[in-house]
Amino acid sequence: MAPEQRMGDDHDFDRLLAQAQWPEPRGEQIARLRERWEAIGRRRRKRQAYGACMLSLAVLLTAGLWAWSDRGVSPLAKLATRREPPTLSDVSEAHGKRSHNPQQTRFTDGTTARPESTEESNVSRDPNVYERVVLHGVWGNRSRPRAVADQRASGQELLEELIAALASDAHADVGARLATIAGARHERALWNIIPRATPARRLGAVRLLARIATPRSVSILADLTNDPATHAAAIEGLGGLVSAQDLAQMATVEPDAPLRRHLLSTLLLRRTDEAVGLYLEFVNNPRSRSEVLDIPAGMKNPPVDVLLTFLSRPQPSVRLAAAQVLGRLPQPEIAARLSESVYDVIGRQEALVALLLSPVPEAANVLREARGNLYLVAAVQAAELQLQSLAISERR
Amino acid sequence: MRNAASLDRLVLDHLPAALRFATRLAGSADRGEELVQEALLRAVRRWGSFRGEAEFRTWLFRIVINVFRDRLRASPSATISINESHAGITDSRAESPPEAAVAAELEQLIAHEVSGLPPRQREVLVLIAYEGLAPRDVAAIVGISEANVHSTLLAARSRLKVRLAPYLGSLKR
Repeated sequence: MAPEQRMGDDHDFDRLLAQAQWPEPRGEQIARLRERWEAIGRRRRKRQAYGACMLSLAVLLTAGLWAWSDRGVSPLAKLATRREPPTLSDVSEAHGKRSHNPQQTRFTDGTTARPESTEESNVSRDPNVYERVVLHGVWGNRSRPRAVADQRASGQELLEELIAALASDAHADVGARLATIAGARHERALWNIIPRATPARRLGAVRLLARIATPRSVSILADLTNDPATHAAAIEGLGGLVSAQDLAQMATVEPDAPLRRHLLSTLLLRRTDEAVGLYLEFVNNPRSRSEVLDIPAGMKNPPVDVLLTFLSRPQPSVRLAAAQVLGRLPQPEIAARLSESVYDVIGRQEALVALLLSPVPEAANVLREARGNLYLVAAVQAAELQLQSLAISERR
Repeated sequence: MRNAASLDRLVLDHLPAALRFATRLAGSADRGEELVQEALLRAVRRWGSFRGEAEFRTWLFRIVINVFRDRLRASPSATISINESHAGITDSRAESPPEAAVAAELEQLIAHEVSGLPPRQREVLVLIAYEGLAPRDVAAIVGISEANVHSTLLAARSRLKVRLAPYLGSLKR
């Protein structure tokens, strides 16, 4: 066969092949696959959030156990479990005093003091300690130092007092007393109290746990978010323990809308770039946008400074999300800050979008000036068009 | 940015393309959908292995092909054969193959012939002729050398030329 004829045949064959027609993917097939994918995603996110919590829990538990078994336990308690008589250096350590070592005392002439004999050391110590340790023998399991028991009893009373104070007022000033009870023992005590307490006491206990919780309490606080009576306090506690990423993930998988808003509000309280960026992802998502847009407007002190920095980000979608949020904030000073941004090269249009959305009269003044400014008039028109297209897409 | 959100976005963007590709490989829309479902599960598990060196589409197609091969291994009848391909689509009203083509079934006939090729030839032909990928990318997806891609493509075309010879004549006219 001549080469020309073969090329012609190939060309015809390619034309024939190009006509192949398979069934086109149907809309319902795509929808089914999307649904399936979303189900896979939900499971994955739940697993990740759970895994992260469990990992941090395991790490903290291991660290806590190590510290408790070796260092964290009260030196007096260590003494109580000893089989041999304690030395005075042990006792001084138990009372938080530095052990006195005469060998280290140097006189000005270069000589050192003679080491004290045991009897001399005993006599020179606190007479109460001498009596308790040496005369009454605080070793073995026969008796525990009374100070520990007293301390525990007073700690328990303080715990109850704080629970009662926080049960009646979430913002009760418990400042200095809180530092006294912070610790693994009281955290564990609260874990035991919470399931069995009356509703009011339970709320107080959860609020207290939220203030002193360590990552060991993450799973307990996560469970408590499911109870409408305690979810606010539990989220507050979680906000201080888990990462911003974890909070955002919890908000993603949370089916309850008010709880979701609360989680995002807690996320925004961090006022970091990461936290605000994660929140803006929810604003960018058309499915969650309407629900989350007004969260900063409902906050006492929204992260305005951080949101303004997002107006100069390279991604237009992020800038637009920040503008939509800023436009809903009713503070007049934001209009002044936005009026500075309209002269920036990046973020000008988004700043104008925020001003167009803003309910404050100051924003209207800035816009009036911008419309009369030849340098800005085109950007104002572009921002208006952007808002219109945004409204159309939301109506869809 | 390699996180769960970017995986979601990439998968949803490439879902129609993956389904179209799987349908071409499997020869039927329902089997294609099954392939993609299985591929999505594997994509989640293997997301950690995606380094971003290849395009996401290439990576996803490789997973679809692996699922396709596993299905064939598990059940060789899961794919249509060339012999059965004619049976299902011949227009009973037509008296000869060219008339069947005239009866607007030629397009489906060609598709069935392509989907009835041996698996390797089918993978290479679909990726090059219908997905528009370069031989180098095809070699990476199918897991063979570039030279092998060319020879497999030649074999697939020769086989199809024989099968489609009667319709080639009708096209000329």
